[in-house]
This record gives sequence, structure tokens and C-alpha cells, in this order.
Amino acid sequence: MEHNIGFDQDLLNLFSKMIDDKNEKLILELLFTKKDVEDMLDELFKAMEHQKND
Amino acid sequence: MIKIDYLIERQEGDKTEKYRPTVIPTELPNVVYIQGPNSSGKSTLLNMIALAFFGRELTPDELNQDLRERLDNLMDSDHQKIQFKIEVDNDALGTRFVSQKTSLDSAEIILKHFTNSKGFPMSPESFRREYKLIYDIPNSPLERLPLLLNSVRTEQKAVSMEVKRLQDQLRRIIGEIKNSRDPDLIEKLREDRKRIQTEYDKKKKIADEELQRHKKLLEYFWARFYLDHQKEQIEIEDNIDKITKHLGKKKRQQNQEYKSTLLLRNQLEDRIKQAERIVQSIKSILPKLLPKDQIGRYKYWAEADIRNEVFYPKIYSTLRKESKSLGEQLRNIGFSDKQQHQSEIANVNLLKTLITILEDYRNDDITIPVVNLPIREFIESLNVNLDRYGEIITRLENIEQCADSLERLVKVVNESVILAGDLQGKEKHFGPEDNEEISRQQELKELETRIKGIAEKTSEYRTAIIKAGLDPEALSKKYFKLSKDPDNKYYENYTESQLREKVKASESNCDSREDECKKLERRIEDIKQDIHRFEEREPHKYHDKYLAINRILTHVLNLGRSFESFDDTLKKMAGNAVRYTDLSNEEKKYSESVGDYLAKKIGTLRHISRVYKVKNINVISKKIKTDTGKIIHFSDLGTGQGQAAYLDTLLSMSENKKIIALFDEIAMMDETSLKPIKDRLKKLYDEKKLLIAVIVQKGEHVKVEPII
Repeated sequence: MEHNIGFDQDLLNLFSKMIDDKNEKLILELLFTKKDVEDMLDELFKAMEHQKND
Repeated sequence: MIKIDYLIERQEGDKTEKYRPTVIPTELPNVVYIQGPNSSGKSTLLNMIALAFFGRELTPDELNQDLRERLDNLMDSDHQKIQFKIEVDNDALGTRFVSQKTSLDSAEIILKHFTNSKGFPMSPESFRREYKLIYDIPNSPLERLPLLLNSVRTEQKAVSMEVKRLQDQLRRIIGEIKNSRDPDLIEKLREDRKRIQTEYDKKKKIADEELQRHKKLLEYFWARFYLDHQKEQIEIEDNIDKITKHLGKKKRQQNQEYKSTLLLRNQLEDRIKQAERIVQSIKSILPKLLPKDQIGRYKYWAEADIRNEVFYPKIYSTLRKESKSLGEQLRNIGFSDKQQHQSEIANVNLLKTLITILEDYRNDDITIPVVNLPIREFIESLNVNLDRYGEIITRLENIEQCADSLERLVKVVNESVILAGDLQGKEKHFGPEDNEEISRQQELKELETRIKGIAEKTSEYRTAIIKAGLDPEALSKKYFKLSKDPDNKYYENYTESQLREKVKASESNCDSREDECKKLERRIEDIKQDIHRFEEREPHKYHDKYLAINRILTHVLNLGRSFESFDDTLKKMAGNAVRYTDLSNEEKKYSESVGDYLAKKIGTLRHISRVYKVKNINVISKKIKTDTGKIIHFSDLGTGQGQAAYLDTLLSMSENKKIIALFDEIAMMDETSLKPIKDRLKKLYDEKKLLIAVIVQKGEHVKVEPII
């Protein structure tokens, strides 16, 4: 369940600039920063819940 | 510390030469800059280290063709064989590697990784996950700057792979949720079961009531017609007895005149029997259709003797007179009833038409709009509606049939009167005894034929009653009670054939209701089993998040598609023929973003005598933009500066892996150009991102310079 891209802010910026959808941006960021898919999902659930409340 | 030991056994003509490291020291610092003359073993040293760290596993994007040929030549050529042992100790990383090719004849290279005293073999794949081997000759650096895109592509592919892995993981989780215990689904199934159970209870109650009614109807039908036929059979048997006794055993000689008279008599008897059958067929129903004030007339009609009417038409005319009168009465009643029930008749006609049309579609899976019923159920509901008009329609049909029968009766009696007149003329030639005998013989023949049919019917009813487990005599005694039952009372106007049809329809209705109940029973049982099956499963922690995960998967799939398009653009950018103006807006945006990324990685660039901070590298236009807005064309860069820029960028794109850097023939770089590379290596070493770095350059004497 682990991801291992390693954090490279510059590389993340390169792709992030090209993605418009905020959830997709977040997924991309989590791929760089979270190793565990469950951690990623927790973050995404929180973000989606937050968007719903907004 | 890097320790190097190798042996090259090479066929040189008829001699086999052996080469070992002799000029360059066999122990070197981890980050080192080596100068030396030609054939001092600089390139061999780099080749051995590259082989030790799986250099041949690098992709064409990662390893230049010249260097690959050098490695292949060492490993695969027929004229030489090698063995080596390379040891690397990196105190900063707290790690040690020993890579060995232990035999000249074996192709196997074993790389062992030591984190304590014990070493573990490392496969090329697991090595690549943590370490990045950069082995390069930065010749023609200006032309090769666009090749930096290959490094971007490698890193981009790694991210793309992770996106795909995430897709797979999300699909797996979705599959797991689908196969896990779903409390909502179980609750829904429970509700379904409850709803269907209620529907079943309701339908079962109706089906049971219908079945009871059907049983009563069936018993009524059997009892009524068993008794009727039994009674008729007894009457006929009595008549046969009487006639047989009367005739005795004498037999008359039959001449031509006798035969023609007998034929005429037979014809007359046929007519009279026909008239009797007509009377019989309407006798029981007629009083039920007439108003009370006509019952007196009916009695005259019912008691009228057909034979008197036929043989003495001038004296007896009640049957014809009353038949005509009652027939007219019935027509009037029928007309008035039709007027009174006009709307019901219209409804019946509509319902019958609808049912006839819909019957063609009975088995199709069609739902009738508005009422929202399947076609089969809709036909049933129409039939239920039609049944409501059953009494009115049956009455009207019976009125019409009786009126027709009365008209036919008058006609048959009139014909009989004519035949009787003819017969009387012929019978003058016979004595009264002869006539009596002829008549009796004829009657006997008729009765014998009739009794067969009646006996068969009586027997059929008896068999049916016994088959149903009932006692025919007991059922006969029950007839009065059955006929007074409110459910059966309604059928007293029905003839035998009408009631038989009703019994059939009622039986079919009961069967269909029973089928429906059985279907519901099976559904309830299926749902019970489903609930049991789902309850046995374990719940999934993300059950509540099922929809959210599906939405996330959609985003991840979009992301995957974006990366596919990035890869296409990158391939296009790396192609020689592409011009910046050929790119779409989206591709230009991506190219710009890649340029920013490369600029970030290269950081600064020395050009002529100044150091510039790089803002963007456009590898298609081959231009470098600085933070001051200066545009430097690749072609304006000095070769050494280009080499430095290229190597610096290569080192900066490590994908967060620890680097083994091997650079050969950096001849174009002077000390000033080399300085940023050395600084970058120091920085990487301090950041624990560098395992070893060996830079070699041609020099007059062997000189080993530690960089850290």
C-alpha cells in the first residue's frame, strides 16, 4: 500500500501547474508526500468533506 | 572510500595479456577528481564501477551509446575476460557496498549491501529504487542539453507509474467494498422481505378466500347437476319400463305403407323432441328472468303438453300462444335492461376489446404507463373489472337466448302440427292399436338414446365428486344449503354450460393466485438467503466512503490521462524537428513548465565572466532565460560552460535517490566551469544524496584530488 516517489517540490510544481482540478492537484501532491494509500484517502476524504461544507 | 581491484585478461595476437590497476591508486576518496595521461586506466576505472552498479541495466535514455558499447565490450567480447571487486564505504550514509564478478568465465555480478556486518545481495531492481547511477561523457554538451528532457521523462514516468498504482489500489478497494458486508444493502433486503411478506400475506388471504369460494362453487355445480341428471335418468328409466311393459314382446310385420308412415312419424317425433329440448333448456331459467306478474303465464306455458298441441292444434294452443307472448315480454325486458345498463354494457365492450388487444402482448415485458402495471397484471385487473358486470351480462345473454328459444319453439311446434296432420291422413289405414304401437316404439327408441347420454353425465359427476374425496349422496343432501349460500346464489341463473365455464374460470383464477403466492414465497426465501450470505461477510472500513472513493478514482484516472498527454508532449519536445510554434497552447504551457523545472534544477549558469540565475530553459528554442531577463542562446555558451550546465542539471535531477556519479572526458571544462559541479557534488554529499562521484579528465600526470 506504499508509494515512494519521494518529495521533489520542483517536480511537483512542474505537474501541478498543468493540472486545473483542485482534487487532482491534491492527489498529485499526496503521491509525493504520503507513502500510504490509506493516509492519502484520509486526506482526500477530509478535503472532499470540506468542499461539501463550502 | 572506494577500493578497486580488477583483472582484464586480453588476447593480443598470440599472447594473453593480463591488466590490473597499477597507475591510478586502488583506494580513492568517495568524491574524487582524477587527472591522468592516456592509457592510465581512468576510463577502465569508471567502466568497472559502472558495471559494479548495474550500468548495463540503464535505459538508452540514461546511458549514451558509446559508453554502453564500452561496457558490452568488457562483458561480452571474445578477446577479453574480466573479473573485479569494487568496495564502497560511505560513512555519511552509514552504508557499504561490495560488488564482485568473481570469475573471468562467469557473467554474474553480485552486489551486496551492508548496513551492519552482514551483507545482503541486492537485485538491479531494488538497487534502482534507491540509487541512481549517472554515467556520462558530456561531449557535445550544447547539442545534448535537450537530452535533459530524458531525465524529466524518467521522473515523469515514475510519477505516472505511481498514478497507475494508485488506480489499481483504488479499484481493489472498491472491489473489496463490493464484496464486503453492506449494512445498507442488508437493511434494504430486510425492508424488501418485509414488504414482500406483507404483499404475500395479503395475496395469500385473497387466494385462500378465492379457493374457499371455488370449492363451494364446485360443490354447488356438482350437486346441482348430479341431482338434475340423476332425477332425469330415473324419470326416463320409469318411462322406458312403462313402454316396454306396454309393448310386450309382439312384433308387427312391416309393409311399405307402414315404413313410410313410420318415417313420417319419426320426422314428427324429431320435431316434438326438438320442441321438448327447447322447453327443457329454458324451463329452469325462464321464471328467473320474468317479472312476478308473468309467472302465472309461465306456469301455463310450462304445464302445456306439446303432444296435445301438435295433435289437437285447434283445441290446444297454450304453448304457441304463451311462447309468443313470453318471447315478446323477454324482448321488452331485454330492451329495457339494455337501456338501463347502457354505460355498463359500454364498459364491458371496452374491457373486452382492451383484453383482446392486450392478450397478444401478455408475455411481453411491458409496463403500462400511468397505471404503472406489468401487462399481465393489467389484464388481470381488467378481468376483475369485467367480472363485476358478470351478473348483468349473463342476465342479458340469457334473456336473449330464451327469447330466441321461444321463437324457435313456436316455429318447431307449427312444423310439427303440419307433420301431424299428414301423419293422421296416413294413419287412417292403420288401426288405433297400430298407431299406438308405432308411437310407443318410437318413444322407446328415443328414450333409450337419451338415457345413455344422461347416464354418462350422471356417472361423470359422480366420479368427479368421489375423486374430490366427497360422498355423492352427502353432497346431494347439502345442495339446498349450497344453493342458498350468498356466493352461489348469484349462479342460479346459469345454465350447465355457463356454470361449467364459470367453474373453469374460477379454477384458473385460483391456480394463478396460487402461482403468484408461490413466486412471492420463493422471492422471500431468496432474500432470506441473500441476507444470510451478506451477514456472514466482514464489513469494510471504507464502506461509508464507497461513493467518495469512486469519485477519487475518477480524478486519478483523469490524472493518468494527463500524464499520458505530458509524455506525448515530452516525446514531441525531444524530437529534433519540432519548432516551438508547432506546439498547441497546452503543449506550450507544459514546455514552459518543463523549462522552469530545468532552470530550477540548474540554478545558476556561468556565462562569459558572470554568473546568472537561470529562470527558464527552452530546449526547443535552445534559449536560456535569466532572472534579469537576459536571453542566452545555447550556441553562445562556451563548451565548458555547456558541459557544466548539462552535468549540473543531471545531478540535480536525482528523483530523490542517492547518486553514483561517473563523468568521463570533461576536457572542455576549466576550473571555473568545473567549480559549480564540484560545489553541487559537495552539497549532494552533505545532504546524504551522494554515494560516490568520480570525475576523470586528461592530464599529463596522475593527480587524485578529493572534492570533499
